[in-house]
Amino acid sequence: MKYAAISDKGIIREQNEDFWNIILDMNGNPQAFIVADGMGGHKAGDVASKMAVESISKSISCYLEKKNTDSTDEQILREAINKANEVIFQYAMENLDGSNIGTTLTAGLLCNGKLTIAHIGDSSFYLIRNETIVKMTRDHSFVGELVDKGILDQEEARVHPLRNQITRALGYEKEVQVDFYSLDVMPDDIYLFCTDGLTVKLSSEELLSMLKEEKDLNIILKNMVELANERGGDDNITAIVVKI
Amino acid sequence: MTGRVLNNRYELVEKIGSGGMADVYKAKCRVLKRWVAVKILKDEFVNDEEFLERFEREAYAAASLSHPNIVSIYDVGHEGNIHYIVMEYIDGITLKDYIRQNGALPWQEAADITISVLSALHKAHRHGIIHRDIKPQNILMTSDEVPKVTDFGIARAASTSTITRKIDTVGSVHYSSPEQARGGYTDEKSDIYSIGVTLFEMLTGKVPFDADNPVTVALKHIEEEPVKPSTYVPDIPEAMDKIVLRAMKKSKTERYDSALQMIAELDHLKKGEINEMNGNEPDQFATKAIGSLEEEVLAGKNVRRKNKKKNKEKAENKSSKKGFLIAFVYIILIGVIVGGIWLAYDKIVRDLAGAILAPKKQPVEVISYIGMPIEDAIRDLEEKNLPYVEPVYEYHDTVPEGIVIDQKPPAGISIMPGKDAITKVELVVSKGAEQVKIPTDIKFADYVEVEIHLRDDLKLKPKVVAEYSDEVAEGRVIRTEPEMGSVVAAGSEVIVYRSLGPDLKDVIVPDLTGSTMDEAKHKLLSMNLSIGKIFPEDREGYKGYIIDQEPKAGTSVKELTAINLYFGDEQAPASGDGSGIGPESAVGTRVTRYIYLPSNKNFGDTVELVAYYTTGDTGEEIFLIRITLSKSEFPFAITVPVTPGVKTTLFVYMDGEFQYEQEIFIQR
Repeated sequence: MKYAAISDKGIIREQNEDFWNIILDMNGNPQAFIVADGMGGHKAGDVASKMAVESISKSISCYLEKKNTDSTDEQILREAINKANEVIFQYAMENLDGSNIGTTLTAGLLCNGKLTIAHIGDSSFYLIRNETIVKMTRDHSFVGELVDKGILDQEEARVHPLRNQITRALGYEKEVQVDFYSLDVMPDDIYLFCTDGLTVKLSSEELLSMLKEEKDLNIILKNMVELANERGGDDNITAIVVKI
Repeated sequence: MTGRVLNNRYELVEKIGSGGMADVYKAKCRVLKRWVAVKILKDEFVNDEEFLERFEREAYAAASLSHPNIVSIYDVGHEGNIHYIVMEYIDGITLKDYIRQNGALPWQEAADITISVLSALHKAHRHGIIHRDIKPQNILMTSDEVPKVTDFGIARAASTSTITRKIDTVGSVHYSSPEQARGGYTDEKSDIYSIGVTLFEMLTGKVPFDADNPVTVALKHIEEEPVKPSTYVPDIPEAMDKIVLRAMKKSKTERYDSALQMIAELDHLKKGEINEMNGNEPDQFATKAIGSLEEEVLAGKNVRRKNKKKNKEKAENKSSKKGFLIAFVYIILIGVIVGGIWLAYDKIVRDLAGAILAPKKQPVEVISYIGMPIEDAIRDLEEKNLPYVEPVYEYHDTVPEGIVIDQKPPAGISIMPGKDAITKVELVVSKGAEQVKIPTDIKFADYVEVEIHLRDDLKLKPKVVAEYSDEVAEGRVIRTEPEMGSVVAAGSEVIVYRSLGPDLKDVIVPDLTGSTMDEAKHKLLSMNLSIGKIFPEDREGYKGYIIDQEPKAGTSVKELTAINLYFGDEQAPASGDGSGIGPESAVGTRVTRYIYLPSNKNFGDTVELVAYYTTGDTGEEIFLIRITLSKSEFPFAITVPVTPGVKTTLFVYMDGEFQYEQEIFIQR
């Protein structure tokens, strides 16, 4: 298995509010992948994403060490996410005068030949298999949901004034609703976890062709970030790519 | 923020509200000794230049609107990073709270409020300003129950900022038109739709479309037909149902063409009712020239307030036609008296003004001063008696000294003349280009540091040029052009010469295979080449001799190039990974490793955990974390930065004692 990650603040923003992590087991094999895109203004923009990634990484690592085998992968992720939600919500209450902060989250847990995805907000998980790319996660965003309902098409959504408004966020409210997806890991699968800084600028077809044309994952990611920045670079960009 | 004084003028007394974009404070204006409301933009927006510009532009546009049903904007400004708008202070509550307190309003009162809001909108629309966020939260009710619309145009500034990410679960979506939900083109008719929804809520106490998430609400605005308000409140006349439903038509073409047209229908409805009460033909008042209507609405404002109270009574006791008739006569009487007093007052004031005061002040349009010498600009301001503040002087790379480079308000905005007027003209004048001195102590300094220093601290444009130097080490600064110590204009280009080290000649790599290590080293050094990494390999028959080399013999290289040697040795490991992957070729990554408490040792209740790591072959220990943990916090996850292809070693200490090290290696 090969993997690589990149995070870039883009060319407009002053700070990177995205956060990510790859969790390895004792043998150095990746077990989980996380990307998070924080929100909350210039003082606290990176707080929620950092707290989310750290809290979830810690929960998952502890689980992997203890191997409580009676939990399903979904339960492990759900517990880790609920804990992170509580930690962030509590933090905002106590330290930020109750002003809301939150973060998107797209996390994958790799266990026993299965990949389980937990998803909140408008970051994405793509599956590349048999030369085709499928965006498996559904955006929890105002325009994303209107696209799902057939009210808007992709192009209308891309230029909508409310295009960056998300309808769910981790740590924003006392409780958070999480979507789960799962898939069996197959040979030659490619997985892409990324924040909307990438998907707003690059179409799935472009992502697919970039993944097909080059072998070195680090170079692929660098090229993707470069292209997103050429097209405005007005948001932070983060991506993790995994090749089975 | 409370207690703070902005620009030595606005004393923030108390926070009175908070929205998604700004906090609102009650404040005392020290100059005019009156209460004002100061809206302060939240921190998260102050770094977004584009947003600030739009925010200010919209605020200035709104400041040009003067209307009894629009909250007046007195001033727009900033002190450092605090951006604010100073507005009329309204002692009252929002229409949202007013509905919450009173429940559904009598339809006559709802009509009155709607007419006031529409007349404000009419004024704005005529000036080309669309509100885009009409909702009861943006309509204030004064203590005299006069509705006043606030936040003109600001919705647009806010929605385009990429900072407000999370959509509010309640709020604007309840009032936004189908075209706004779709992200389509918005115009005056989008405001008409929103006022239709607001009127619906006044009449019934509920919004027409509700759901627990904003997307469903938006969908309903796009797809569902609203029910008639009279479904909830049977007293509502059919004509009122029709007005609400027409304002809320999905298609813009089916809505009222203008705010004025909707005022006319509401007015018609009210007068029709009054006429009916009096037993007259309703038609008598129905046909009216729309042009005169706005003035009438405004003039009738004072009367309307009194009228409203009567309407309330009437709603309670509908059958009392007689009572109403008496009331009606009163209204007429009051109208006449008020009008009479006003005329008399106006005449006295005008006479007085003619005799004592300067002629009545008229707003004066601000012209563009940009590009004008400051003396000419001041002369023009003095001639027009326009208020201005002391000009601000700033360095400018291209505009010569003494020329105006920026102004507020922008050209085209009209402001009141006189020294004590609220909005003052602010001019920014060029000081010419800033002069800086190229430091003299940068020879031999690291060129990256020099480049950063020149660019960030001295605002110069460094351009790095490489050249050979026997005197200055590679990567260090040799000289600059203009030379060090020169005084130059900020923004000008400075060439920084970076050393490539001595000018090295090309040499051909000798064949070293079969040589002993000593012979090989000697040969390399004599040719001014360096000895690279030595990889021991266990190969039969080669013990003590060079097996291979990299680069190969015959290759042309620069002097001092390192030549790696593969050397026959029995104790060599299976195969090395020293393929010379430089960290610069890899993208950094992070991994989470998990630290456990060694079970064979006794620790107290808390343990101080310290971790360092080394990366590659440098051996330099880099500090990672120092944290005191309780025993229950173990196993503890820590995150280590690693470079794929490069070995990282983690060193763990507990209570000051070394515990163990752990290698982390990730394939590229």
